[in-house]
Amino acid sequence: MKRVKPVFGVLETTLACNLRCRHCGSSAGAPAQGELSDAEVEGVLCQFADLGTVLMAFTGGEPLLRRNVLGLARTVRDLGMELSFLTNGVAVNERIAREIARLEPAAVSVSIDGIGATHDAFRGVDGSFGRAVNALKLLDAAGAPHCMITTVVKSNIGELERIKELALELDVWTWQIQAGIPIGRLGADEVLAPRQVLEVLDFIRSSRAECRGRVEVVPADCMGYYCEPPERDVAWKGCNAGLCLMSVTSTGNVKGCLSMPDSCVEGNVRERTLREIWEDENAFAYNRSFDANAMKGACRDCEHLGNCRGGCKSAMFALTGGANENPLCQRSVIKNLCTQ
Amino acid sequence: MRTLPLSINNFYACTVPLEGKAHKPQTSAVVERVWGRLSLALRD
Repeated sequence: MKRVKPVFGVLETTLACNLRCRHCGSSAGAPAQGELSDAEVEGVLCQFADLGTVLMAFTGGEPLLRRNVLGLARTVRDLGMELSFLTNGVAVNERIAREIARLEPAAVSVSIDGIGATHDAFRGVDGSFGRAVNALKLLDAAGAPHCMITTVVKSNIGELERIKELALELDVWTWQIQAGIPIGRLGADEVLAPRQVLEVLDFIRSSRAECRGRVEVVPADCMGYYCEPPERDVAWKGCNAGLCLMSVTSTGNVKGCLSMPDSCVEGNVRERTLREIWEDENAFAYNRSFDANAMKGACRDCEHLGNCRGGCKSAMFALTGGANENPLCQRSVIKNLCTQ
Repeated sequence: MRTLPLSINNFYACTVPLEGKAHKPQTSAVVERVWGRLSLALRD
């Protein structure tokens, strides 16, 4: 596959987190040992800008727990890049919401995984739902594009309708719905069953139509693909990791996508520059040297394989242990159900 | 419905809004700017 440039950059600002989410893919809590200093992060940001990155996403852990995160965010903007935040919202107050809005971010996404007690149970801390909703209101009032992300697993699939009502009530800009994948703290027993995958995709399709013009309902990259009828407006063209997306962990490890396993670390910014890693001919091989013949299961004979390349690689690694088939693809789910 | 030349296929950026909201012109201007830049970069 053609390597373009890392149009999208992701920085895990810290592994510190003030919640203990059941489905956290990073098992966040305490900061990692040896996290990058501010000077190192600034160096990394300069390198992203030099490589042509347009949008830099700050995530964590909880990004707002990193000291000087808003200073680093200002650096992103001063370097001419766009900025987005993914936050649990707990640390957002009126002042922080205003400071974030002044940065003119592309998006500030707050996770909402259920209504009230369901969200709190997911997140491991009572009151976190109220804080998240309050954060969304404060960000909206301050003039930031406030967005929602919901991770769907067996225990909260029944709340999607109510979460949609909340998204409409809060007038969020986008609502991303993603299937939980078994990385970090999420156990395989919580992952959606095949019929539930179809249920969620149906919900996404109907909600997109219902909310059009008010809330953009966005299917995450970990599910769906070539559905009939389509679940997204632009046909899925394969995982971006290592093609136009590069990510850096809080300790400087470089991956295509942060959700990928440590076996996909391509180097560390303390040892090599981002450009050296990006331009390494052997890096990001799962996408750059994609081999259709290595695919298995329903992917192997799929007519869309050339474009799709099997969907989200992180989901594949997490669900199957390799990058050869995707249990969250609608076509794969249907094919497997039909042959049972 | 507005789109980009390439879908944003990553967990960390696909919440970026593509459409403005008529009742929020100031934020819509930011959304417009970001869409323009991404659209150009992904067309390269």
